Amino acid sequence: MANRPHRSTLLLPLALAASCAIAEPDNRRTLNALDAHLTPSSTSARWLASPVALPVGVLGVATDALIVHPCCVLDDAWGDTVEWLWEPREESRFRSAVMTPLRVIASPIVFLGDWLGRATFAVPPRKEDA
Amino acid sequence: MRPLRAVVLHAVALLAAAGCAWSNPANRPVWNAFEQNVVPDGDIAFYATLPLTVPAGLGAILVDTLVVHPVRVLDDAAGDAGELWDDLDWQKQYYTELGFLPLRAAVTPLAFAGSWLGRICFDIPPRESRDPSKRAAAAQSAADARRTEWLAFLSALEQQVAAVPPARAPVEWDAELAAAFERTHRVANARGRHLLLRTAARQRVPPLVAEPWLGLRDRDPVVRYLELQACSGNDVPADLRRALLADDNEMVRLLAADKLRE
Repeated sequence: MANRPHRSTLLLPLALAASCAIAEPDNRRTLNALDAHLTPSSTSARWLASPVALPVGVLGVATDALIVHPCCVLDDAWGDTVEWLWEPREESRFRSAVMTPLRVIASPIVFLGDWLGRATFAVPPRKEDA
Repeated sequence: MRPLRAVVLHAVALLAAAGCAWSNPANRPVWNAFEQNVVPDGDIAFYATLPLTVPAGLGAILVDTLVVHPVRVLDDAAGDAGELWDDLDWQKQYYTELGFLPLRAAVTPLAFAGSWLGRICFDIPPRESRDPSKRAAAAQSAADARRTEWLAFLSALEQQVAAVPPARAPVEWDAELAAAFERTHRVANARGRHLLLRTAARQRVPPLVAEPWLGLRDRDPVVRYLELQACSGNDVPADLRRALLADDNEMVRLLAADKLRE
């Protein structure tokens, strides 16, 4: 027990990795909303509000990194999975029959990997067809 | 014993990695000063003092690698880490900046340590100052250093002593450099002229740009031969081609026949 790393040491790399995605302003929906609507106008007000605003900001970072942004990229991850595995392509009927069970097995793995990648790094969103 | 072995292993690993930084002459001031001021030029003195100069040279490498270069790159590493704190916009991104504050604080020492270790081990160019006047002064200082290095090279060739070719061409080719080049080319011995011509051709300094065939017109046949070996043989003027094909020296004639055949 004494030699095991403390849980907080594992949280730091996770926080750093997640901050990679939210380094992109478009991926900080909560913080953008807070900045746009709740920022005090004067410097003195900002100083006075800082004891409250600091934990709110940290909570905003955590919310964006761990909840909002991962939720927002679910559809992109699903879109990638469908595009890579399920979109019709020129292949024989037999190949299609053989590949279908493999595609079923691969789907959750591809989806999970893509989702984790998009949740962690600043991957541009998919361009949906109009 | 184990901690000692670990220290030695770490020191060896650091030295091996720092070899990359050490490859740049600008990163080894102690070695440069030692080589320029302490190592004797004369053959007898050079070999006689080797038992003393070799260990001292190894000591200079250690001092450069473990003390001087790491201390010199401290401010660059601090500048790199300080970039994390640039451009904070408290008016438009109040909560964002506050939210990232603890993360920035946690990452700053890591960024500093990473940058410092990287700069110790690898040849990373120094940071350019953000202050325009300091940047201009640094650029002027670098240009002066390159000019001084070239003048020292020309002077050594002129005096027919051992010369170290400069790493880069001067930023501006002024009248003093032009006069020194012309004088050196006239006075230097054949080996010096060959070194001068090769260095000048490689760095494309103005006298060789204006007259690329200077080496092929040299008065020494060995220099002409070596220059002919180094040149592609294309675009050699007709009069020079004829002169080389009829050169007094048989080796030059034979090589010219191979290289300058129509």
